Amino acid sequence: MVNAPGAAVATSARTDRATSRRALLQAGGAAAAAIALGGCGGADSTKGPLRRLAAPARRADVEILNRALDLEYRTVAAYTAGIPLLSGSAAHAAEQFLGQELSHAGELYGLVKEAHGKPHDQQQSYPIDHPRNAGEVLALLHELERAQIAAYLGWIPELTPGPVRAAIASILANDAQHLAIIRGVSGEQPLAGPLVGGGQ
Amino acid sequence: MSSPSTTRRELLGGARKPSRADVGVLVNLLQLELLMSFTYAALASFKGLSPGSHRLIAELLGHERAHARVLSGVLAGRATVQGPANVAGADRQLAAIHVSGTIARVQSEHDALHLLLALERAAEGAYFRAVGELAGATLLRLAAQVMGNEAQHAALLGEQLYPGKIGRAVPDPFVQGAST
Repeated sequence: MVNAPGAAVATSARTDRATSRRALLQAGGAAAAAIALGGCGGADSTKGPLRRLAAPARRADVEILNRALDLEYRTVAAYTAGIPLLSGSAAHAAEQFLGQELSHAGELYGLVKEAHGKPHDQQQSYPIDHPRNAGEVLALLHELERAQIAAYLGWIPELTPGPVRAAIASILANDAQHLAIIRGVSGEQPLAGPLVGGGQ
Repeated sequence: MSSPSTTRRELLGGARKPSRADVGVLVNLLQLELLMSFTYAALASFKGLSPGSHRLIAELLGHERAHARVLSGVLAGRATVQGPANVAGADRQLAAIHVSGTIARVQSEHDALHLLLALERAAEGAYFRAVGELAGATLLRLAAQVMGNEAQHAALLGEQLYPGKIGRAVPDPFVQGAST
């Protein structure tokens, strides 16, 4: 189980990391508040088309965007919990990627609101195994990034407005970059093949 | 991970007849992939590369060729697209899509990596727009898969250019590439 950023307590037996974990959770909480204020904003061109959609299509799109938002929240929670266990280049990369995942969540939150939907809230915690060392953190992040990419690939053809599909693809492509870097710092080949998705 | 041949088979089953509008988008993408393949191949033989850069460029060349094969398969019988015939032709195409630098003027590993990074950014932009324009579900998925791969290429080229600077390698949370 992994606490969401902004959750009141992060339970960690590792007192030497408690300070950095607390700072990170506070930072994550602040960023989560920013998400709630309406999103970080990726592509403004997505907003108009969502508003103009007929109600049934808009409802379907909102459902997909909220499911994507749930995935982003979960990944944010995993980065937040895992970063204190990382060091060196892996930690630097993960900190950069956490900020980007928060931006993704902000964008999705904003899109749901633009479509007159109700964005899902973060849960207090997520049912993810708590990683105990750097290797487990990287394995968890790898799995979550891979799962996001697979989900986005399934959802992109289902989204109605082209600009919204493109916005989701721009998030997917950033997640694909995360995946490649995580594979690299894990000692694997960064690229699994010429097409992202599926087994990568 | 599907092999390129599996993917092509899947695509041909799911997208036998792309619409005329989709064909137009795919032709542009194939033209870009052929230009990328040519540029990577030309730079893979550049003598000033470190072993690490040479390995990376060779790997990415393989990917660009795989993308071109998949797109050619989807377009089979609908359009014929030729790649650049020579370096001068490739450099003209690079200029036409606003990629700064030319193959002919590459004099160092930095120049080579920089040119390829600019080209990958152009590809990201082309696929970003394609995902907004394509109508066929299978083609949309393919475009997103390739876009993700081009973004990965950009990240790895960025790492090679700016070792240890993750903010330079993966700078943006929203990959939209460059306008062409």
